[in-house]
Amino acid sequence: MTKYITKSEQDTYEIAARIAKKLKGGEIIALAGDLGAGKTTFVQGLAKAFNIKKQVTSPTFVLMKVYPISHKPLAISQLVHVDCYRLDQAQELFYLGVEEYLNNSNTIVVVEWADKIRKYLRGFKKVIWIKIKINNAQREFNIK
Amino acid sequence: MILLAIETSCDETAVAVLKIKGQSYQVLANLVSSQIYIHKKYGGVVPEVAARKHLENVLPLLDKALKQAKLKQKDIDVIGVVYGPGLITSLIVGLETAKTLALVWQKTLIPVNHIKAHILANFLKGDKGKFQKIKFPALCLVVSGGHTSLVLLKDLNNFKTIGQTRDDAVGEAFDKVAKILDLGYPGGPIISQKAKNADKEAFDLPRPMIKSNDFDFSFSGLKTAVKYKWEKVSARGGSASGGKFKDDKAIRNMCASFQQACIDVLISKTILAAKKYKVKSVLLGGGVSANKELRKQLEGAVKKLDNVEFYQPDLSLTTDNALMVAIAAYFRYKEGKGNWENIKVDPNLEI
Repeated sequence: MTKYITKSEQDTYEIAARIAKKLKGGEIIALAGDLGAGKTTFVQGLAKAFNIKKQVTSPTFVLMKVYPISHKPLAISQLVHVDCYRLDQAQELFYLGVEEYLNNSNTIVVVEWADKIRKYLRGFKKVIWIKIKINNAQREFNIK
Repeated sequence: MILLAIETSCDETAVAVLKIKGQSYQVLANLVSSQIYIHKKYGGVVPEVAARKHLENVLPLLDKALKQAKLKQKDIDVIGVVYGPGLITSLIVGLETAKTLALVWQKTLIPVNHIKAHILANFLKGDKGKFQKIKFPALCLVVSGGHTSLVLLKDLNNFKTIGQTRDDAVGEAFDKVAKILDLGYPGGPIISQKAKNADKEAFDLPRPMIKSNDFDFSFSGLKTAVKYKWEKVSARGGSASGGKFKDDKAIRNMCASFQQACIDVLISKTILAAKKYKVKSVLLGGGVSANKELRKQLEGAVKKLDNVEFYQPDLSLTTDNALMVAIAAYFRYKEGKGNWENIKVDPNLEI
């Protein structure tokens, strides 16, 4: 388990960049943290690290957004941003077609409100859990 | 010309029949089958349930619409359907239905962008009459559960997004704030109801990006600010008793303060853009355009500009409906782009 403390959006971006460097493709990044914890900010940091120019916005409404990555020589060709905030059960992900992206070696899937589908994610190997806690202006990132 | 339109991009199944002759139109049917009560208990739309409901609703609704319009399938000239943005499973039901009808009935199929449809709803006023004479260039503030953007229209077929939210949509912020305040779903109508006659200066909330000198928005930080303020307020009162915090005055004041913070930013950016692009009309569109305070305050702000007209959709056309799809299909049909057999849904379709 690694722990980071951040005090600004920039700090969060740096953690995201550090994690992005270690990714090889096929990973699922599971984010857990309350409303306003900075989950979407973290994903924006990942997108920046992968040189995605498109604005990464909250996927709460459409539940899933797919961003192509053209950042060579990486084997990773897309970042999939999933939001479970409105989901009742993991089964819903199946209907959205998320399975097609999970365990896919050219894809990174990052899931907000992943704690809602904890059991479902146990069925996958390369899951990185990131729990974000806020204390006043500080955010604590616990990664395992 | 008779247009039949279908809309299933989120949780409303809608079918409309619109008759157009020259600059005049007549609504022959405009039906919506809402699922809000089904999704209420989940605090949001459940995609699979939504798709299943669309499937159950769409054909009976089509029948009903044609009966109401006193028309047969042979009377239809064009079928319009939304192919994005929206929930993929919901969109597929509408598009596949429309494709099948177009194939079997041998009709022209026109795919419509849901957001453009919201914008073009401004051309209708009442059930019949002439199209609104909107002058170009026009600027539209699009506000909904999934979108917050400023769209510049050079003409009817030339749309450009000049600014948008960098994180949450404003409607999403309303939903999430309603959840923080434990008010239920959907958040927009509940918050604006609670905000009525309450003190909009009771809580000092930020106006994110109001001075950023571009046309982008951010509502994520505002939602977080509400959360922190609310935690402090609810810690001070009631929560020691173990029950849920229910100080209605504080709730109403928070709703009013939050709503005003959103409106301030939306209006400020819209006026800034209207001046920069020297537009002749300012339009409002999307689900959040049902918010009466936003309508009133934006109208007031636009009226202060010289030679700029303000348009807002009829209240009945603010939420998802198929009439706006029919009008959008009409304008696109006139533009004359054909061959839509290979069209696919696009949940992230842009302007």
